[in-house]
Amino acid sequence: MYDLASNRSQTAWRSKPVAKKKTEILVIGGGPAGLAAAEAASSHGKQVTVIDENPAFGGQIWRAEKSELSEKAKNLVEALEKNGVEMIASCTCVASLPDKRILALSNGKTFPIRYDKVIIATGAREQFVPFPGWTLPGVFGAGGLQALVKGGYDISGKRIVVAGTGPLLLAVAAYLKKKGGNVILIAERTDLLSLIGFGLSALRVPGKWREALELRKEIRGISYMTSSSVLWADGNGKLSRVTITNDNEESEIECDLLAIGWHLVPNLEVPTLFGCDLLACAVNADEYMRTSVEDVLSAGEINFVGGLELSLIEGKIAGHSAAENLEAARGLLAKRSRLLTFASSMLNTFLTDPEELRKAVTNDTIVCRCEDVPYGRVKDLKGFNEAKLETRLGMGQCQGRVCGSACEVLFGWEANSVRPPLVPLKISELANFETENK
Amino acid sequence: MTYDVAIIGAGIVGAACADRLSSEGLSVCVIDGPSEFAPATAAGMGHIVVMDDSDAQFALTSYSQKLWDEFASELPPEAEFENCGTLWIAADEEEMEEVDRKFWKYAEIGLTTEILDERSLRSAEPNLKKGLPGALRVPGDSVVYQPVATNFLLARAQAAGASISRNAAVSLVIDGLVETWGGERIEAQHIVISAGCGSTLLPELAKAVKPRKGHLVITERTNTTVNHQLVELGYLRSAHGTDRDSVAFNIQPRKTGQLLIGSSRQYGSDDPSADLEIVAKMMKRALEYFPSAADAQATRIWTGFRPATPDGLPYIGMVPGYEKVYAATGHEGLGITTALGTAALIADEILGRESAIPREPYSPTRIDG
Ligand SMILES: Cc1cc2nc3c(=O)[nH]c(=O)nc-3n(C[C@H](O)[C@H](O)[C@H](O)COP(=O)(O)OP(=O)(O)OC[C@H]3O[C@@H](n4cnc5c(N)ncnc54)[C@H](O)[C@@H]3O)c2cc1C
Ligand SMILES: Cc1cc2nc3c(=O)[nH]c(=O)nc-3n(C[C@H](O)[C@H](O)[C@H](O)COP(=O)(O)OP(=O)(O)OC[C@H]3O[C@@H](n4cnc5c(N)ncnc54)[C@H](O)[C@@H]3O)c2cc1C
Repeated sequence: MYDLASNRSQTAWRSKPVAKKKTEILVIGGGPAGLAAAEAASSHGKQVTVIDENPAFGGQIWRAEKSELSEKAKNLVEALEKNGVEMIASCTCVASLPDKRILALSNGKTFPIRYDKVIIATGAREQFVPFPGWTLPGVFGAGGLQALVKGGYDISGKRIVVAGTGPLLLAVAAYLKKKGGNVILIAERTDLLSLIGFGLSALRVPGKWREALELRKEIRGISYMTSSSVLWADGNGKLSRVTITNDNEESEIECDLLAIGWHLVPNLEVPTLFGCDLLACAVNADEYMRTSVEDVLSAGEINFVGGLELSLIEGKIAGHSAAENLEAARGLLAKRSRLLTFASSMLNTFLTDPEELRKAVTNDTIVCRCEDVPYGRVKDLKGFNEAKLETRLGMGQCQGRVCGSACEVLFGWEANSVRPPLVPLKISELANFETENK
Repeated sequence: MTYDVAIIGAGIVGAACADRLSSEGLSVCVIDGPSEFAPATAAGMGHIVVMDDSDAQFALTSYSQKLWDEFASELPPEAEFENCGTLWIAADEEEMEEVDRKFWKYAEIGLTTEILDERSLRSAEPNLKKGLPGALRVPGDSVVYQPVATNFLLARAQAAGASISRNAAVSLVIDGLVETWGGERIEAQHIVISAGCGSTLLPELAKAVKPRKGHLVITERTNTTVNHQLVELGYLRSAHGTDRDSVAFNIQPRKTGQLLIGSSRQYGSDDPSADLEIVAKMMKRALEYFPSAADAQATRIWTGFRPATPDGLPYIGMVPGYEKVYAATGHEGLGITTALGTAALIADEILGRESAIPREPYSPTRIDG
């Protein structure tokens, strides 16, 4: 059985930190898009290295699935092994260096990796929108809770409310239920009519309706409200109750866990380090996945948050294109464009008016949790930089990864404050930095 | 309307001038806009420090330090003003002689300092490397979180009637008139140029004010105690050189428990991105003096450009060839310290008064050719 999580059964998956410092094609991020890219590029005989900051490959969706790994993932892994792709886990790209090199961090040590072409596939993360009580223990991002449970967090018997918007809610609710959670409510912000419209458009995409039917079966018995959202969460030291509005009626619900799912936002830190052009909060890549920077490609959710299938196809296109086989890439363009159309219609369905989101926030609602900055202290400031300098918002441990996109939603501020190194480095490690490959 | 004074640039120097002049009852307009170089004030270290590279520098920094002490009680707590003092650390016996010289020099103007020997240095700063021969303690020096102090000065100026326009980069200055790139014209009797590295908009200043790049590194909150701003004495050597890239050990304790570690000096670079080679040199230097920082995690590295002049002194005063156009710029690595003194000198000159210290050494008349 292929085991993405433990990296044990195949040599190809083993983490070899400082093994190789030079590769033809470097893939940053080993989620579906990155793995598909590595497979496609190596199929043309290119020497490929994939790094991922997580101890396990597979990205958000496959990472922790041990026995449940899909056929698709297994085939991909097999192909990578066969093609001799080098996989380095627990290895983070922390900076882009001159002369086509990155600075990688692994096991506390930094080292440069030289490449001819690089494919960035760093995926997306959950958007957080602050509301009163969102920092209470027991309040999770929907994907985050799912990941925790995949990693062994026990939810059996726990009363869970799933709220927010988007099809991810159903998938998460179904998963939590399967793992023994007592999911008492799914509160979807979008209204019923829009959902029906979206459901109809989904019918046009082969396979999607079957997926939807499956999900319906799995969440049977859970109450599902539309036009409904969480106003606030409270509890003494940990979550015990949420207040929900449903068509303007408020009600209180006792629960142990709240899983909130908004949209996903692309992880743009790495493409920003490389200086790639961005457009509408995503990488501005062409249909062959080439970014504005020569020899830098991008694939998957950093280009468009559109789910697994789109990420896989983009990965393949990027891989072919990096191997300079545009012919092979061309055959996939039509399929990608179909998936993209579907993904856009989904995005439109679940679009939320920022005004709505702001309504829930009060002056004491924490916006930046690293530095404890409440909404009231920043709301009258003029931009992200001013708020940073004046209140320390975004200056903490997470470097604005959470509050940056929250401020984008709440205030329309652009949070462009990515600086190398992307993750904290020890002073001693900074001191050891050598530019030359030894 | 015609303002009494138009101030170009709302960094700490412009902010201090706006506050001072509007408190004197003058009508003030501050015009700030983006320039090629990001504002130095947002990037600097906030060490309020008396320096004695030259008598003129000594006079301006010690005068300014007094003004900061008076100002401190008015600052909001978020400005994190802390009278922590400076330790000038000697690396060897030769540098101990410099400690001695500095002690007497400071004493001349009545500034009390203290010579620490190896033992007392160790008890003052237990995390410094063992075996350092000693240091000079300057208890009057302080640190401040200058972005908040700057906004406070601007807000106070505004409350006193000053008008502040942002996003209005100035394209042209002539006697009595300022014009922005957006085509706006502002008339003023007096015009103060405090645009940091952007002060080059005046051709006379363009010859003399050059950006000097610096790097800083901030760590996460740590448990490592640092009681003073710590600076190596060799810093003086590094700060003096004009052509070579240099680094020096300089560490500042933040109220948050973070360590702010500097610093570097580079000429001839206009690239704002961090240069990891320079950072590595800086960190090596820091660890030579302060090995306990080795395991602290650096969360962020940034750079800034200091507006530097050939002789290391700022330009404060009327610019030759103009009627009532004044420079308040070129403060290099001391602009946070000397902002308040600069504002006082400018106000005195505009109002035709004597100043607490001679103004002549800072006059832009020394720009040659
Ligand atoms: C919380 C969450 C739950 C999701 N659940 C579902 C679901 O149930 N169904 C579904 O269809 N889709 C789901 N998605 C979306 C799905 O995961 C994506 O469509 C797909 O994973 C995108 O693939 P990707 O390769 O672009 O990104 P990801 O899967 O996010 O992979 C990116 C990889 O890059 C690595 N990485 C990031 N930065 C660096 C760096 N600096 N250096 C090295 N490596 C780095 C990350 O560790 C990660 O492994 C979910 C997404 C999220 C965020
Ligand atoms: C790494 C580093 C560490 C430092 N550490 C210290 C320290 O510990 N202690 C200390 O005292 N000093 C320190 N300094 C120096 C200090 O930061 C500067 O001397 C000081 O901030 C300069 O302030 P300023 O107002 O002159 O310039 P700035 O802060 O640069 O302000 C100038 C303003 O004018 C604007 N502007 C420019 N051109 C135009 C135009 N044409 N029209 C309109 N507006 C314009 C700019 O956008 C900016 O807002 C340090 C500097 C650096 C880089």
